[in-house]
Amino acid sequence: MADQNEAGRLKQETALQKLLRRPEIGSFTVMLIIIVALSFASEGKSFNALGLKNNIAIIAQYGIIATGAAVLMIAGEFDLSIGSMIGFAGMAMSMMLKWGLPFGMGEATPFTAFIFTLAMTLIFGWLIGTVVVRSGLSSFIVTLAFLFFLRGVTEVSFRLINKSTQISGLPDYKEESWFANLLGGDVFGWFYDLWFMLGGNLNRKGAQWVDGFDARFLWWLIISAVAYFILSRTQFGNWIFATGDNKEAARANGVPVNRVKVTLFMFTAFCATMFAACQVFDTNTSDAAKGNLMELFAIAIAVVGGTLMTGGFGSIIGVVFGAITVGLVANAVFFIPAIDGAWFRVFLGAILLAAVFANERIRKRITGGI
Amino acid sequence: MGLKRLPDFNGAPDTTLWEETMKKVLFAAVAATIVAGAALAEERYVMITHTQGTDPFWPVVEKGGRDAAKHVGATLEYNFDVSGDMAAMAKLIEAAAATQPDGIIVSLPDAAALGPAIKAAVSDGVPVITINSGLESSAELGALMHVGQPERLAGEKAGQRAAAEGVTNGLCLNQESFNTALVDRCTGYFDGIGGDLNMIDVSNDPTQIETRTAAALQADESINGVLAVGPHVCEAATKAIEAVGADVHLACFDLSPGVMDMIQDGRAAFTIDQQQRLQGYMPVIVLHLYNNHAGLLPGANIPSGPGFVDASNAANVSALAGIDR
Repeated sequence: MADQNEAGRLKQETALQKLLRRPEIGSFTVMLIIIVALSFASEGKSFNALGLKNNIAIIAQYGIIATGAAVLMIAGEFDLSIGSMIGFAGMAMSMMLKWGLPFGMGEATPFTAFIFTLAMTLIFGWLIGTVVVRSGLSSFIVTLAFLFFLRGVTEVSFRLINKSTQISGLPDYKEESWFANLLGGDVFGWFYDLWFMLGGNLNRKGAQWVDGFDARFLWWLIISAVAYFILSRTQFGNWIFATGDNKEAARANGVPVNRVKVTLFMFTAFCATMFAACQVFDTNTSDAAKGNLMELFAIAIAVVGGTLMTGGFGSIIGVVFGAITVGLVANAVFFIPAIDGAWFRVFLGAILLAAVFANERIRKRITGGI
Repeated sequence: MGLKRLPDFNGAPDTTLWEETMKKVLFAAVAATIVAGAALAEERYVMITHTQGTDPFWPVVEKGGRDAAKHVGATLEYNFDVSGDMAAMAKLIEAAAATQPDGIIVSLPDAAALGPAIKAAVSDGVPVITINSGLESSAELGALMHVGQPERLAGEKAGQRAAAEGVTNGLCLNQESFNTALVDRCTGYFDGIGGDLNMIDVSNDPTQIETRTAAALQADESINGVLAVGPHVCEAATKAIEAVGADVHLACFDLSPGVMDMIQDGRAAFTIDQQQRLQGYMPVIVLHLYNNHAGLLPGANIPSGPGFVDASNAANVSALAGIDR
């Protein structure tokens, strides 16, 4: 490329070439292959009315945490505490719903339980971020410590207060509370109503089958849209890229590097809390294992989506494609009776590796081989 | 140390007298203790479990043991290590054996770690009964017997009952596909209904349990029986069954408030209860008979489960949950 001048480079680009230069093209291709392969292998069942709803439920819940993980990775840091944060948030919410608010403040409503929990997780996010930026330690180690710490706190709290590491049999809050319904209820009912009116979406008894997508679908879209807007259209987005690309250069140019990082650690904590809230209000249960290993899925999706491990590079659209790919692989192999479901991790490993190779090639082409 | 006793002509006889007196007093005290001990020759049993202290399962076992001890006029000491560390649990067994109790009751989650301590206790002449997990290594370590639920048998009973209730094609939902006890439950279920093992790994994530179950039910519409080998899996599976709209017989393992509700309103047919009260109660009775009646001992291990909880007894079981069930 060194022998080309600027005018020549602009002239040669066709629409197809432009498309191929998008950073998301790798994850998009992988996603497309998975969707097509799966439709054939499951004889279309993985995308019937319920299949679509269920696949999107998994995709959305992965997508929510992967967005947080990806933005943080773009800024050059990791968060391994996401899974434990999910467990902690789920525990805090369900315990307040069962045993009341802390310090004897009386009965909890879904709204107050959520707000108290969010306050706690944001404080933890702030603490993790502050420890990372103040100590200069690797975020890998600091968040690994919080992975253990938060999981331990979750388990101990369950045992001390609830005497059991599982809470079940809570009332179905989404029937009563608009707020619980916002997190655990149905959304986009018109889509399935329309499908039914067009003659599809029928269950085995011939009635309308599915009423809507899980609410987490909407939350995933909102979180992704906001993250996309901030990354690509705002000063803060530029700060994130600058921080991850070259921290010292960014600081020299007046970017508040530490503030950016602490904010993003709080953002991953927020995403983990949303994951937990959607699940608690959907299922009305919680247990000490909730969110286990989710931090690794979040990072895997960010990487499949083209986010660079070393920071400074990545896109939210890519993460959306990555979440769809991983979500489908995690769920949809169960539509194929011939394949033992335990294979999904094998596929996931293979796809992760394939996606990383593809993304690496694309990135080199875009950035001119840096 | 380092001080020399000065010769004292008058002191020497006094010292001897004092020592004589002390010997007599000590002898009397020891004799009194022995006599008193003989008079209070109460049987003393020690129970050591692998709980970490607040799991709601184990207090039921402990209460079973204490009730049995009260019935036979024995005392029961209950102990566990909060860390859940097997090495620490082995130390507890060694410490208990050193006090020479009339019997030790111990749960056996890790035969390799606890085996030496149990063998040592047995060779010191302390009768040992293993409970809960550890059926396969119990006899080999020299324990008198094992009281627990053989998981494969429990699965088989569940399968037989499911078959009797009309299940022909089953599906087993396993949240930990590497856990051999849970795989045994699934294997037994298919022994019971007759057919090849059809088990899926549903993970512990409630959303994925639901979606994977729904996927499997859609993939094979002839499935008419589902076994969930954990209570939280069962709670998620019922949502999947409702979503798919399939007419499926649902059986579960273990108890939770949610599962009890499901059984009472007919969404689940039954759940298998391992009846852990028996795991506390029976060993004390067995040890009491063994010690007092010339080695009286049943000819086989005692399976504490499977017990069935269904619509007929769910309300009664719920009332005792966490106490005696």
